[in-house]
Amino acid sequence: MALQKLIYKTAIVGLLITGAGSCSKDFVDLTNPQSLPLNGTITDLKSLTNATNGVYSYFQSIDYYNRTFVLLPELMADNVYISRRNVGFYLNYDNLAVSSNDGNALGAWASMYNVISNANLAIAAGEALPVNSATEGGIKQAIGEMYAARALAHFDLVRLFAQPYSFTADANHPGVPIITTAQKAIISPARNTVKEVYDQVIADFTKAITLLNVAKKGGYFTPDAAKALLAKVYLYKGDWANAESFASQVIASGNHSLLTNAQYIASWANDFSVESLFEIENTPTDRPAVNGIGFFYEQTAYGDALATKDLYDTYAATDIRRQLIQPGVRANAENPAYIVKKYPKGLTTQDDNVKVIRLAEVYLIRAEARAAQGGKDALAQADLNTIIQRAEPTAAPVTLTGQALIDRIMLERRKELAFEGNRLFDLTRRKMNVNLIQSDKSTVITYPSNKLILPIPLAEKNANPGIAQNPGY
Amino acid sequence: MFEEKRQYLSKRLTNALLLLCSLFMVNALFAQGGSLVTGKVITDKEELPLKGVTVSVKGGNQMTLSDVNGNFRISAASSATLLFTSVGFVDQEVPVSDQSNLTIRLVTTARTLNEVVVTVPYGRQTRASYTGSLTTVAPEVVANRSRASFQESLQGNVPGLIVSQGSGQPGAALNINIRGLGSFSASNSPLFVVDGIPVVDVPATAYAWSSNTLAGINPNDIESITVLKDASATSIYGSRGGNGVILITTKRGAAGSTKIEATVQHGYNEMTRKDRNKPLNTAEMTELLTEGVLNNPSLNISTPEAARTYLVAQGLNPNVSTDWQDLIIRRGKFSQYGLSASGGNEKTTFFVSAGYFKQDAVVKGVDYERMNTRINFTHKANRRLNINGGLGLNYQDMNTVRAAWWGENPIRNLRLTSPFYSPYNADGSYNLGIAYNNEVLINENKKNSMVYQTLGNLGAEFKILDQLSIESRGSIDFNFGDEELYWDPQWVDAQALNGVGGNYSTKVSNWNITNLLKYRQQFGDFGAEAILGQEAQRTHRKLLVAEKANFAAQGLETLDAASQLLAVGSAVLERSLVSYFLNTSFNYKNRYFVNLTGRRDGASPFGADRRFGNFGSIGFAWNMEKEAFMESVGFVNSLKLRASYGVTGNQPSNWYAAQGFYSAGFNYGNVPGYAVSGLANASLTWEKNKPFDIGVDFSILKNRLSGTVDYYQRRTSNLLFSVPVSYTNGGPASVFNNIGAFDNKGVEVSLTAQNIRSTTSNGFNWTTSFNISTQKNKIVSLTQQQNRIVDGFFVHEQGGSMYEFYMRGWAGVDAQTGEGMWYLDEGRKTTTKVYNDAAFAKQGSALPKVFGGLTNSFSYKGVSLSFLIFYNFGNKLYDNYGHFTSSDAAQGTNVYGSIDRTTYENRWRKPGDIAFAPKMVFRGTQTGVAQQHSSRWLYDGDYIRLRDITISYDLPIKRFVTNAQIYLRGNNLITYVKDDRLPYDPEGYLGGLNNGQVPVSKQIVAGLNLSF
Repeated sequence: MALQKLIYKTAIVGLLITGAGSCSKDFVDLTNPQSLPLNGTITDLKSLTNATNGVYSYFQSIDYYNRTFVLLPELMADNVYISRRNVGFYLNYDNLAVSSNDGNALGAWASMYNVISNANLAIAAGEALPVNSATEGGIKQAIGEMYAARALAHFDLVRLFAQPYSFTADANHPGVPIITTAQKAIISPARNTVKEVYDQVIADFTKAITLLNVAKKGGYFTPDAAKALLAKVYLYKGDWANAESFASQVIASGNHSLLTNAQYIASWANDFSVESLFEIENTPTDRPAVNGIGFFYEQTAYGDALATKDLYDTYAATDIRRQLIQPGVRANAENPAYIVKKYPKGLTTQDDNVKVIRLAEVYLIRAEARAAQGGKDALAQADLNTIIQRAEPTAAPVTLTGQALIDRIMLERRKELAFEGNRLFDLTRRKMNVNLIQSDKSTVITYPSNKLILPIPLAEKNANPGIAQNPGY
Repeated sequence: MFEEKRQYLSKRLTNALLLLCSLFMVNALFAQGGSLVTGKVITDKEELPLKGVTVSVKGGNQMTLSDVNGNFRISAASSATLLFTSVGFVDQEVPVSDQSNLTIRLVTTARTLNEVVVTVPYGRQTRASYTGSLTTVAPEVVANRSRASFQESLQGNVPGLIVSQGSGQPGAALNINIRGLGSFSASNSPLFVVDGIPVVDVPATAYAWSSNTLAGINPNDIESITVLKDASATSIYGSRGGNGVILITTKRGAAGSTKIEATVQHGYNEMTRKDRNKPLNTAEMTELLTEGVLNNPSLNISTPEAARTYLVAQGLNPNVSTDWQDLIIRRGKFSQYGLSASGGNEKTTFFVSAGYFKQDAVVKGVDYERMNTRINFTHKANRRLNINGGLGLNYQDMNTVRAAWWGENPIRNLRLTSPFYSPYNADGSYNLGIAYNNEVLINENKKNSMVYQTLGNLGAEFKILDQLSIESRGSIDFNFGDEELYWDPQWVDAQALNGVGGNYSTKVSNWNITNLLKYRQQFGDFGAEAILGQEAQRTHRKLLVAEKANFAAQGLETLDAASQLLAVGSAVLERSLVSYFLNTSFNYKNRYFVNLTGRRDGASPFGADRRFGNFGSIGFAWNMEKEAFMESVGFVNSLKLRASYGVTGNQPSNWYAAQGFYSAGFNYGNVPGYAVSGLANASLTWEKNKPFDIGVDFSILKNRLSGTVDYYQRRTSNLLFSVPVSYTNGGPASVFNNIGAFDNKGVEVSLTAQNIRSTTSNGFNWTTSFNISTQKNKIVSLTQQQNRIVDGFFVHEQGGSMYEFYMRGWAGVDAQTGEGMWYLDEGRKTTTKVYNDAAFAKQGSALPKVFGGLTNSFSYKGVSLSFLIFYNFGNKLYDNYGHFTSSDAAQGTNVYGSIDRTTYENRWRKPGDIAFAPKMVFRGTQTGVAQQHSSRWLYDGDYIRLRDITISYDLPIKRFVTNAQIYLRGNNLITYVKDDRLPYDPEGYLGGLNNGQVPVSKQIVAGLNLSF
């Protein structure tokens, strides 16, 4: 072989090796095609909106508004129980034998903090965006939604994982960690007090109200939604005057109105009724499918959750709301079985929207706030009767006063808001005992009880040793 | 950016092609003159003539084959050296030195381990000259084994290698690790290199989680498997060598008459330990539930009769007793056919094969089918240029089960469903009161996964000088998964939607280019060798998903027949690697060897600041039998000492581990959305493996006893770990980080003894092979902030094992009251009856301490018998879902309230009973409610198993065929399990956890091999 050829061959090898070398840095510089970098992604209103949508999508989690969070407050009290023929979900909640490695508790905790951490990122990026007259309203609305989302998630966390505000005189008992800054370094926060959490929730909703500017936006926070939720927070806190004040603002805004008696039943299959202030939106391509709350109530599928007879019996036969509970038979199990029809798409499109707050609740918040203040019983009766007579036009107006009036409002909350995720919280915030009704027995749980709040999830406790566990877990 | 990459890619390909083309153009033939040399090849011991031995002139182009009498004729110069090679015999080099009639005695490979030529990274060399620790596996260990993948057959045959089957799903991916687990959360799987191609280690399926692309390789096509273990052997693979490397070489043809082989196998498989956890029948369940009613004071029922009446009112139907196991467990059929041909002439050789494999799992509706073909060729273009290549085409067709605790898994449903529910209504329709009715699942739903695979490579070796050669090899590994899913409208997940269908396409393409410059020179007694190499690899995965609902009619299952769109999506993942390496070795008198290896790798998954890493090793070998002082030690035939130390690496299994990002797909209200799905770590870097190995290879007593002993210590530092962090951080609540270090230490011994060695070819022979491996895993350090990380069921603690189970300790049953108890403290001194009060404690490791295999082979005349016993000691197994199936009557008469046989057999019944399982309490809550994970479901994993036994007979037919053999083979026929409470097969626990996998099976197979 000629020497020249040899040199040529060797040169090619050399070229190949060095050639690859010069490109190798680019060659191994690959980015994830499904993702965008954390920094620098939110650059305008559109990208900000993408980030806020991500936050809402966490509200859709199975363990948040699409099932667990709406189910537990009903199940852990006297409205709902798990049939003795079941697929095995939530049994530990049905008999209050929850342990810290419970998957639903972890799912709820994780989803709620994902709402918060993603909202924090969107707030930080959104507040840094340049504003002009064309985008100012949109950016403010988006940031306002994020403050409201952060507030709601903290409020839901503190209700589920901590004793109610009234548990100690100054609410200095353990709440949940407050997170209000965009994640930079890994944190392992301790629990804030319940008072601190409520203060933060109130501050965030208050801030949101100043930013939100779109009166009607189905599936998203609006000024009325934030005010109604703030009224609810004040109610839980026992700040009656503020609860009344914000409830009044929502009622007076005129953006929403109560459904009529005739519209009421059908409205549960509809999205964004005139009465709905804020609801979590599901669509045919973005739906919880068999994991939704509707599929858990509707029979022939799972249908594991049944209404209690105790609840059914609170409704008069003429009460339109009784139609949302149908007496029937659960094959191989309960007869009669009371079947919940409040999420009627569970067996069809499986995309029921989940109502977070409705105008009817705002009336009941104001009724309770007025009754609790003293001297406003007549106003309270009026609000209460609005809700009672919408459901049962022939019902006699309530004329009770004092504690009896408050008790009657609590009963009405149970009837109007059944299956919407309020019952347990309404009982404990009022320091009332909880009647745990199951398929075959009922047990009175004396307030306060460790069992009426959830454990800090084991996975959180393991990763964050500084966080204190709730007693009894 | 994309455009840039494409240009870059094409540039790389152009370069490679240019090189290959230019190599082909060189056609200079340098014929060498010589005289005729004749001779005879015989076996060393028996002196029988050997036909078909390849005789070639070393460094030349001439080649011939010995005839049926062992005679050969070849033209060679008197200064030339002749090379004699034949499968099963040690290569021999003989200088012609003016001899014209030679007698060559070839020694079978089994006898002198050190002289065997073995496949090593980027080449072949004698075992004696290799400084690394390796184990070679003979082709018969994997061929005709009636197992879908060759990997399964390695179990028990390679010291230090664990192959955990985990599932009885034929063709499923396996848990394979060499010398312990090297990583927390990066891969623990070795690198597989097939004919020089690093193949993909990710499944090419989206629906079938457990598919195994390597199962596409026909085990009958495999010529040899080399398992590389220590630094000296693996460091040349740099960042991918950390977990060891398995080299697979497929068969090549040999010059001479064409050889045709045909194989046929038929057989059956059955569930192992079928009766151990047989579901309770209605009478047995009634017995438990009756006790439960009587034990529940709040029910106020005091007689068994009243209890039974109550149970019937609660839904127990005493007239129905469904055996849910019998409904879905079957005897599965197995068949395999293979045909291959090989041969060639002095210039060109070929190997072609086709194979068919079909196995039904022991669960109805689960099966596996494979067809494959392969073409391999080598061509000596001239004295200097050698071209070789191969193409394997195959498809795998499987119906799988996704092992997890959900309704789509029939194994889960079988364990949970109560016997007093019938799968059918009186009118023959399905009982849809059982949400997860296995009969609907198995009869009506469809799920099919097809994987099409091509594995092709083309390479050329060009000898520039006698001492210097270049090699270039390009390869493409292309996998396409095509999967269909159909849920019948009667199935729970599709009831509301009138049927759901899904189509999933997964494409995985992986190309690899290797260029080598090889140098070899002898300076008197000194020998030097070097390989300079460069390699680039790119893997691309794309997934396409479409799901629709509302089907027009039964029988129409393509998506066009459905009206409602549920989901459409696609995703792309990419990974790339670029490397340079240099491997050098020096020897003195072929007695002392030193090997130095260095490699620089750049890989895309790492943080921008730490993308490139350096790896390397140093190894020594000393062939002591060549020393003068050993001459007096007559019984030693060979003795080699080895030692090596080095650094290898490991990459994260998450290809974008270092990047923090917003991920799309968090949509809301039909508007796109994104959310945080990764927390960034720009300094994420290579996991470093620093293996130290010292070993000895020996052969004594006229080679009747040979073996290898190794001690190793692997320190893994910069551990890649997905550290769990507080959920308040958002995203995945974990961050990839490099933390701490741990050690894997162990001893490996393998011995082969020829107990009885016949002096005639038909006499009685008895050979025993034995291997034993120990392994110990110890965490040396974690992060500075944390000396303990709890991760699921495991705790990682300084000084402890990486797979230490961590859960509440079950303290048994109060003999007086029958209530369950747990330990209040780690020291197991005090107990509590309140589960939530119990303390978490360490409960033992999921890693075995000792394992190995014992093989005995006997042969006499045409009959042979061999069996392999596998043993495994010292690990714990956890039944992840035992807390659901040991419900102690807490589930009452619920359809998912079935109680397992272990509880039935071990329960407390009356005061004074020392029992393992507590009393039954109807709808009780003290024990038996879900999520009460504890050591109650932790078992000893020790077992001994007759892994396979084969009896074969060589038919005395010599017309038409050269060899005809029939055989009968059994796999997993006998298993001894130490823990008599263990409910499942000890292998049915992947990584120590049972997740409802397809049960492991035993097989009986009859087969016929024919050679022409």
